[in-house]
Amino acid sequence: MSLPATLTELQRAIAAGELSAAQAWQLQRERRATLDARWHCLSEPLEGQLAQAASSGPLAGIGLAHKDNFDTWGRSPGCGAGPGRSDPGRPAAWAIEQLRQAGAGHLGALVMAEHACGATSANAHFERCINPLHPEAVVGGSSSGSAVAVAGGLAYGALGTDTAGSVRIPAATCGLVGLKTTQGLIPTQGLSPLAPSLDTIGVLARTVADAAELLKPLAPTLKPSPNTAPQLRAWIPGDWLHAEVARVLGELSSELGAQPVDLQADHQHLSSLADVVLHGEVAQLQRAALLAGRLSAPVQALALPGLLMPPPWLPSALAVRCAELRRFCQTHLPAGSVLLMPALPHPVPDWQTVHPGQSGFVVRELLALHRCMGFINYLGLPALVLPIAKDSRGLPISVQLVGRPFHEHELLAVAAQLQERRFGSAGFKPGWHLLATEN
Amino acid sequence: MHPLPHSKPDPDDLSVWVERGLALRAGPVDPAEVQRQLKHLRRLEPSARLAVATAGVAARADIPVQDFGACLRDLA
Repeated sequence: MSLPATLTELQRAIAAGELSAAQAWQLQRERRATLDARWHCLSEPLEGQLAQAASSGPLAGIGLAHKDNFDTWGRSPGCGAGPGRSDPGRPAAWAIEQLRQAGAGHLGALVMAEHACGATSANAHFERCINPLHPEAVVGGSSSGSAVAVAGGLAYGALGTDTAGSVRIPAATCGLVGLKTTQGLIPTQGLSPLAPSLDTIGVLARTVADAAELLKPLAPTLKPSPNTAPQLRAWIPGDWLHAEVARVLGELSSELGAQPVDLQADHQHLSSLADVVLHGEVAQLQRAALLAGRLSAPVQALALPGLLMPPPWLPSALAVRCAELRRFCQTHLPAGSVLLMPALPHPVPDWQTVHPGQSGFVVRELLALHRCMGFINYLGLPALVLPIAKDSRGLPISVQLVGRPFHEHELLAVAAQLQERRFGSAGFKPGWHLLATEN
Repeated sequence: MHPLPHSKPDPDDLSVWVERGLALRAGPVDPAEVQRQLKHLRRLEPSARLAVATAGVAARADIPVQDFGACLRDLA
């Protein structure tokens, strides 16, 4: 008996009685260790009763796995710094509990960049995550294990967290749909914070429909997509986009009749504000450990600038946030519009190019992974990345859709149309399930 | 650096506020950046112009910081 390729196909198969939720769950548990040996994405499998999939509920029998910065039942997360810690009586994070109540199982805690500090999967505590699309291609971070588990067939979907691109970057490197939600839409209770003003929970999925199914229990009151098609606007930076990415996005923009906009000045300005908040809040949270010399290099790299910058910068950056958001929406994202922009400005690089310490390391390539991300977190807006083409190596080139606050369903509706147009409903790689069943 | 103005800001003359806001945020003030900000502000409605310019110094000027969650909900 084999499992279907996508979450929604498995839902249909269970509803049609082709297999039971219990059978589906058992098959997913049986292949977990084999797939992890291939991709190196699990930090720790979960086995307790509350981690098992249920036989009823919208996500019955569905195996998920999540970034290891969420509390789970009786366990404190390892946060990419090692294994988690037994903590009897600790409840699961709000988001994890919502998915359990919808019937989903929790296959295990997933590898991540240490304390979510990093745009790649580089982590000295774990074996390097392998990108299921290409063994030399980087896996973005910090939700690196989440992307690998979903792309590699271990889990039908995963939670990640996004403070400066940490859902969208890994999704874009692995050909997945990555949805960063509006700031505050999904409660962060039970999540280990990085920079609380920017932290958001997001989902990684193989298709747009799968992402929408995962969002339902996490945001049950979110308003549906309006019946009218949104006005599309497109920002395609002229001077720092790789030619191949620029061509793909330009063709997409023309095909959709999107109105060109220029965000260059605002992008630069808002990215600076985002950096101030990111560094400032990481420094606040990690101050004692930083001063005691107990932080590892990746965390120190984020915290140290925050400790050194003048104290008024952080409150000032937060003070202008509402005004900046209103101005941005008024200028670039009026009601009824969706913005298209790059996800990664360059094709997906090889891991040796962006992992610090490697002989082929190019700092500009590493910085490029972040470039289109942080200012969206500062503005608190929802954003979705979606593969729309393949580069010369067959790796994904993704677009990023940005919406008004709490307009996630509008982004999903636009993304569903784009996915259908480019790859069909099966998503970027129709053979996702083959990766999982060729054992 | 200019002291903070004590009177209500004039929407047509916000250079002091912009300079102060930039200084709080980014250290030494680049005059070209001040001009760019002023040019941008002039495109906004007077009320929005005031909000943007004065928000830059909100922390220092004891202007209450708005609830960002409420701001997101307003724009939904």
